[in-house]
Parts: sequence; structure tokens; C-alpha cells
Amino acid sequence: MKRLFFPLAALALLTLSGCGLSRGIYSNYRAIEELQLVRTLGLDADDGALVLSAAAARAQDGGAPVIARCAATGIPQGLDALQLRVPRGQLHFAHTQYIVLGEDYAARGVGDALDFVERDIHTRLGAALFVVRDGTAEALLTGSGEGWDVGDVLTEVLAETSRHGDCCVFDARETAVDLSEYGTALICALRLKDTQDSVFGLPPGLTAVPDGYGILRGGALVGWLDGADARAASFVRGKLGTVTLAVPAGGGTVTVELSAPPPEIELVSAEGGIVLSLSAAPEAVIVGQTETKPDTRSLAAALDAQLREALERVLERARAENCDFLALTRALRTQGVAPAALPPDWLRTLDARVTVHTTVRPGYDMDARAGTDGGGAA
Amino acid sequence: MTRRDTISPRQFVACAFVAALSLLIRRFPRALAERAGAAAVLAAPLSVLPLAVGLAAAFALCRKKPAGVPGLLTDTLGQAAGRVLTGVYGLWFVGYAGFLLRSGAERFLTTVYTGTQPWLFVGIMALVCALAAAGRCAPIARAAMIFRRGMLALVALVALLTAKDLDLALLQPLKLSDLRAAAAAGLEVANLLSIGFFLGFLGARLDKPVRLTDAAPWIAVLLGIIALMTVECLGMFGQELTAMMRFPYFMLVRDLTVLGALERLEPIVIVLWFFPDFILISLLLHMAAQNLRFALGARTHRLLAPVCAALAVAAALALPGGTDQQQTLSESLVPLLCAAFAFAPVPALLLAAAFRKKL
Repeated sequence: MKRLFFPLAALALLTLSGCGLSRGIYSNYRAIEELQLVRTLGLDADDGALVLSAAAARAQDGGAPVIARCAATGIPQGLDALQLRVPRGQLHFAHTQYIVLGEDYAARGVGDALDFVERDIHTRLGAALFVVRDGTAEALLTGSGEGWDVGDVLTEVLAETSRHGDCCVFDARETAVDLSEYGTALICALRLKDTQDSVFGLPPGLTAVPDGYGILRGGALVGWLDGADARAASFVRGKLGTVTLAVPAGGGTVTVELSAPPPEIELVSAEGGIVLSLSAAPEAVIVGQTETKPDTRSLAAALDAQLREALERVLERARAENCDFLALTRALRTQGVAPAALPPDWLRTLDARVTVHTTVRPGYDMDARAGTDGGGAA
Repeated sequence: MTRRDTISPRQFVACAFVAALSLLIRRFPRALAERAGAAAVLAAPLSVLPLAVGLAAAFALCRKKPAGVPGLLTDTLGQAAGRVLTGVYGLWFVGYAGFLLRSGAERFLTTVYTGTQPWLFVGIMALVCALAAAGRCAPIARAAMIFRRGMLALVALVALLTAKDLDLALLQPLKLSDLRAAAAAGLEVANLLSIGFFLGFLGARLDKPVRLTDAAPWIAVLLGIIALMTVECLGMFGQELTAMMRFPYFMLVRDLTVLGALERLEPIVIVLWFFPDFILISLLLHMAAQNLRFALGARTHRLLAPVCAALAVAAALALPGGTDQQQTLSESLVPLLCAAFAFAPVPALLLAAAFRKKL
């Protein structure tokens, strides 16, 4: 038996190597120099048909990234069909970083896309998810044509939103979890924009800018959150980075950088409906020059009012649509309330009490440093 | 001169531990999330009670009959009935090994190697395991000692890399009313003890009896691993998604990134799960060959081991291969059969022994 062991083991290993004239029996073998690594996958609905587009990473020699498009009956079939549309190499989806949905596709429902990402062995749930407002994913992927790399643009969007954006980017896993646990989810919305100025350090011209959130309910896009509402939603969900705000105060306008820890959400009382207390304690740093310098107290009051109004508006929106896109259920869970124990219309009857207490700090200011070791005149 | 084929209690426990890892990845934490929802995290701690009862019975039998299950069967049921029942267990081990071969192949097919045929994985695994099973069981036990360290390191590394992304709100709320569902899920965890009973057929090879102090720490580690995997999967995917996924633990690994530079680690992790499969299937084939040798009165098990492997391959390829059918088999029928073969004979044997005044 021992004499047989080593020849048999060697033979078994040979069959697994993928070497030889054909691909061998190792079906996943791909020649690395032939791979076109897909960074962005686009999904659109066109008159009920599914349209897939894929953009590969820029070639090492700086050549334009390969972009392919096809119509298909389903995503797996579409990915196979895309392989036939590439001029060179083979599309490889294992490192897909971004999944972009056209507005029409998202309106039909993202369930198929999320199911596919969960089951497919190549795509990952860690891929960031975007929806294009008033446009298609294909338009974003093809962009301005020659030299356009949607992967670079989305990388900049991702970095920028995580630092300064009103909205943030959720990945496919977060979206799938929100949909399965809370029945609703937010998805970062993008808008194609032709700019004269550089945006996010990208050259002027066509680019994609974040434009609030798409609201998914039951997997389908049902509405949008814009500007201050998107900011308030990010804030409630504890995803707000540092945002720059212009606040009218003291007869002028003050520009502040606002950052905030996640608000405290507490179930105050459960009698006759659910009463939520939402307390926020953001911190604002004055960064802009003001004509008439307001005192910090009136500035804090103005910020409190502005934020409270935005929070109440977004809570009212959630109530009106009976759609927990703010993930309030998550906050309730941490206080021992099971989502299944809530009545079906608990959100509609929700009594929310919002408290905002902003702390204002003066920002970096040469005047403030006068007389210190900064070297200014006393 | 033939070498003695003995294993130490530590090696026996290592075999049981590594073999249990092979079983748990097939069902957990998916089945626990499906049964108990967020309370699935309590399933492992709650399984301590049924485990304690099972262990007490097993160690009571071990103390009385250190020669293992075959000795116990012949002593309590008589030579003829004992031989027949030992043969029946031998055939069950062949069938079980066949299921494990197919299930392991399907795991590769659904997670990494889509579009490939299962026979390739079944064949290679059966070949490797047949070679091990035809020899002595001591080398398999020594391999289990090595694999145990590797698997522990792997589980710890995945836990470390996952920790930062966990959303603990998804594990809440835990209520007293959930305890019932968690206890039912705990029975599923306790069913892992069946592997300890099956390995009892190696009892005659032990150089000294296994004591509770040998086994208890590793049972605690195993329960800890189940609890950890459950926390990771529920904290990452929530209970509904975890219950929907075929292998949630591997899904979790799929999104791991090491220092933002190294990603797509899941093939390595999935392939490393080959080692528990190897230990379990090799031991099952080895025990099947030994049991059939005893039942048939053959001189050696060496020729019977490849025959058992061939039968297991035939059983593996005859099993339905679709994901749904495989899931049904591994979720309902096979655990039931495991429980029936492992736990049903114990009270029957105790009764028979009491009746015959053999214990």
C-alpha cells in the first residue's frame, strides 16, 4: 500500500494543477494576463429587459478601461453574455468593488441583484451599492467616453462621502441586512454632472456626485432623500462624517464644520404608542469668515433649530411613508424591543421628541492665537 | 512484526474534536438561526445540559467497559447479536462516509468550484481517506492533534478579522421567551456528541480510558467555537439572512480583508476545512472496515477499507446532488439517523445489560 501511495498522490496532484494543453480538470483556472478585472458592475432595466454593463480596471499601460454591455434575461446569463462582448481578455468579477443600479432597475426591485451577489461565488457582499438618479448605470459606466474610468470616480465618491458627505455609501451586505431585518434600506444616490470646476480632485467635465439617498422598501426604490434630509438620515443612523454648513446667525452667515456622535435614541414610554426620545449633541467648529461675528450662544441656537427641523422633517417622512429607513428598529432592539413585537403601524403612530444641543467652538483663527506662542502681537 | 495500534485519550479527544468541526460547518450556524433566531447564540450554552446527561451515560459505560462499543455490544447482547449489530454499524459508517463525501464535494461546488462535477472531489477525497483508513488509526489520531491546532488558529483569525464589522444590535433582544427555541437548537448542538459515540468503536485501541477531565475542556472549546461562529454570522448578516444562506460562515469569510490589502481568502478557509473532513471520513472508513472484519470474521481490515471506500463513493454518487436535496439530507435525515444510531442504543444496551446482569 505504501508503494502505491506516493505515485497515486502525485497523480492526484497533477490532475489539480491546471497545467497541460487544455485547461485541465480544474475548471476555475484563468491565465492572469488575460483577466480584465471588473471594478464596476451596472444593472439597468430597459422596457422590462435587464441590461448589464461592466467596467474593468484601467490597464497597466494606462489604456482605457474595457467597458462591455449586453441585454439578458437574468444576471448570471448576462455575466456570461458580457464575456462575449469584450474585445480582449476575459472579464473577472471576483474583485467587483461597486454595483451601480439605474433608477428604473431599482424601482423594479433590487432583490434579484442582492440574491445574486449572495449566491454567486465571484461577487461579494462587500461591494458598495449606488443608484443613479434620473439616469442609467450604463450612462455612468460609459461616462464621457475616452479616458473615463468610473472606478476612479466612485472611489473618490466613496472617500469623500465617508469624510464630508451628507450621505454615506452602504455596501450590498448592509443593504441586504437592512432589507431583511427592517424591510427598508437606504442606498447612496449619484447624479451625473457636467462641471466646469474640479470635483473631488477629479478633472473638470462629466463626473458623478452624491445626491442624497434612494429609499428602498420591500427591495424597491420608493423615493429619495435630498440635502438636509439625507444629512439628517445619516445623522440618525450614526453615519454622518464632518459636514460644512452655512448658518444664518447674528445678522450674517457663519460657516461651520459639523460633526456628531450617533444620537441617543431611547424608548421613553410604550403606553398608547411608542414614544421615542432622540437626543443629539453635535459639535460645530467655526471655519468661515463672518462679517458680523455672532456670539456662540446665538449660533448654537440657530444650529439647534436647523438640525431639529431637519430631524423632525425626516422623522415625519419616515412616519408618513411608514418606512423605517432611519433604522429606529435597530435602536429599539438594543433596548430589548423585538421588531416582531411591534405593531405593524408602530411607525405611523410614533411620537418622536427631538432634542439637539450643539456645542460651538471657535475654529482655527490667527486672532485667537495672538499673544500666544504663535508669535502674534499681543 | 506488527506494531500496536493504540491511541492516547488526548488523541481520541482530538479526533472527536476535529471530526465535530466537520459536522458543525455543514449545519451551523444556519440551522441555529433558523430554529432560534437571535437566541441562536444561546444554543451552544444551553446544549450543556443534554451534553452533560449524554456524557454521564457515556462515561458510565466507558468505566464499566473500557474495551469500547464492540465489546459492549457482544457482552450485553451475546456474540451473535453483537457481531450482527457491529456489522450494521459498519454499514452505517460506510453510508455516513458516503454522505460526508458528497456533502463535502457539494460544499466545494457551491462555494468555490462552480461548474465542476462532484465525482472529482468525491473520488480524490475517497482515495486519500481509503489510504489512511487501510492503515492504523494512530497516524490519523496524530494528524488530528496537528489539525486541531491549525483549525483553532483559523477560527481565531477569522474572529479577529470579523470583530470590527459586527453589529451587536442584530443579536438583540434576547428574551426569556426565546429560551425554548434556543433549547431546541441546543439539542441540535448536543447531537454533535454522536461523533463521540461512533468513535467509541475505537475504544479497544485506547491505551487508557478517556476521563471526563480529558474531554470536558475540548467540549467547552467546541461549544465556544459554535457560539463564536453564531455571533459572527448573526452580527454580520442578521438572523434572517443567516438562516437563508447555505454556508453563512464562508459567506462571512468572503468579505474579509486583511489590512485592506489581502482579500478573497475564502478558498483558503474552505479548503482548510478539508482536514476535519479527512479525519472524520478516514475514521469512519477505518471503523467500518474494522467492524465488518469483526462481523465477517476476516483476518485483517486492510482489504476491507478500500472496499468500504468504494461503497462510500457509490453511495455518495447515488445521493441526490442538488443544493436543496443536500440541504434536506444534512438538515433533517442525516442528523436524525446520527441521533438514532448514537443515542438510541445506549438506553437499550443499559436495559439489556441490566437484564443479563452484565454491567
